[in-house]
Amino acid sequence: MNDVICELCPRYCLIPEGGAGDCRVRVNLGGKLCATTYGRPSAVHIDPMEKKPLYHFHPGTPILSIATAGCNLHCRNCQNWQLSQRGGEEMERIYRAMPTEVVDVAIDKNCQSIAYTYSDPIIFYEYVYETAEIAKARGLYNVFVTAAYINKAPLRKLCQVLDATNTDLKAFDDKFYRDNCSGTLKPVLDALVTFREQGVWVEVTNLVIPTLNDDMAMIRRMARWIRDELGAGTPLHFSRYHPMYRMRNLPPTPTDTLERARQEAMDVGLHYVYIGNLFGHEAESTFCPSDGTRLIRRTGFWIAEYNLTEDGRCPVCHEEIAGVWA
Amino acid sequence: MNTSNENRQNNSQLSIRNSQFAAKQKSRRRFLGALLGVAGSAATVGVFSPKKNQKNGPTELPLHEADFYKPHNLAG
Repeated sequence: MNDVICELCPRYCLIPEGGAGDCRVRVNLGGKLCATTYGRPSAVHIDPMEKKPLYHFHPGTPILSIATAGCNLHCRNCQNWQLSQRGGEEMERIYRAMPTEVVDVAIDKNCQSIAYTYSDPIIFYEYVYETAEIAKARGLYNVFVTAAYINKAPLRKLCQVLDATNTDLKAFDDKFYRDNCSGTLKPVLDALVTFREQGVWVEVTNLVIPTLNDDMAMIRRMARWIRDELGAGTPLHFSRYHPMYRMRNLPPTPTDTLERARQEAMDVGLHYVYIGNLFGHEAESTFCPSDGTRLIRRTGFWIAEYNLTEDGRCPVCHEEIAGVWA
Repeated sequence: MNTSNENRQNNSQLSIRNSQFAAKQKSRRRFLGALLGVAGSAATVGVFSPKKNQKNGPTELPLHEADFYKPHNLAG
């Protein structure tokens, strides 16, 4: 009996010798748990920070973004399924990139930050941790773009080397998680609270899918929870759904639904609520919650106008704007 | 006599031409058959042989060879 239990995420996969966990990339080799994609990303890009999306964390800066194959969730609407719903051996290409090389490349390409993103970086935890540790020691920031389906102990350890997260809160409904993602809601909420407690800058994304999670009463409950547990200054991004992967039967989210969701969240008291995946919408921009001055005007992922003061305040009423600006 | 000889000659020439034509036709058919055979084999091999990355796994590249600024449609 050489079975191992992976304690990284709430699945607690019992992996027989020679087998893999639910994520496909964490395997049992001779009774030892191994992460097969360590140092072997399949996606490597330099993106604008706004693409993560992070709107209140070093805006307008480039960020080196890496991902390996695999994921511990299996969302039917996954936009990155060709990467996340496959094992490393099924990739077209992989890069040989040990942690020091990743950090060297980030510095060489003038990136201040590294993002662990695209698939869920939880499944390449050891690679993230060791890269982030080196990056932090060399003055870089670490950004974790995740669905946060992770256990508390490994997350607390990881938070020591993280600076910011965009966490995907898929719905404020456990049934949605079970039916569409093969996960559950509570661990995600716990992880969000852990990020906040550990001083990691948090922004939340909610992909609004017609008929599945666009109920306004649920959106109100979610916004209240964010306000009470994470703070009214936590940016919330309502993102437009596009038919994808195994969920092609539903139409893209109507603009009107996104606008209503945004209004609900603002009525509840959240200060910074954005609409994403909808190019050119006014709600891509940041407004002062006190006097309504437009502080940052965005077009897609690009900053067209930046009016914040150096210390992150509204230039008109001097209201402090939540975020990490410098 | 002459006429009958000429006829015989003509007939024999015609028969030679016919046999040459038949031989050419046969040769063409063989050639086309062979060509179809080769094409069919190639198609069969192409369909059933594993693709490069299936046979050998993913292409491995050093990190510095990544096209960092190549447009992509990955979310996040």
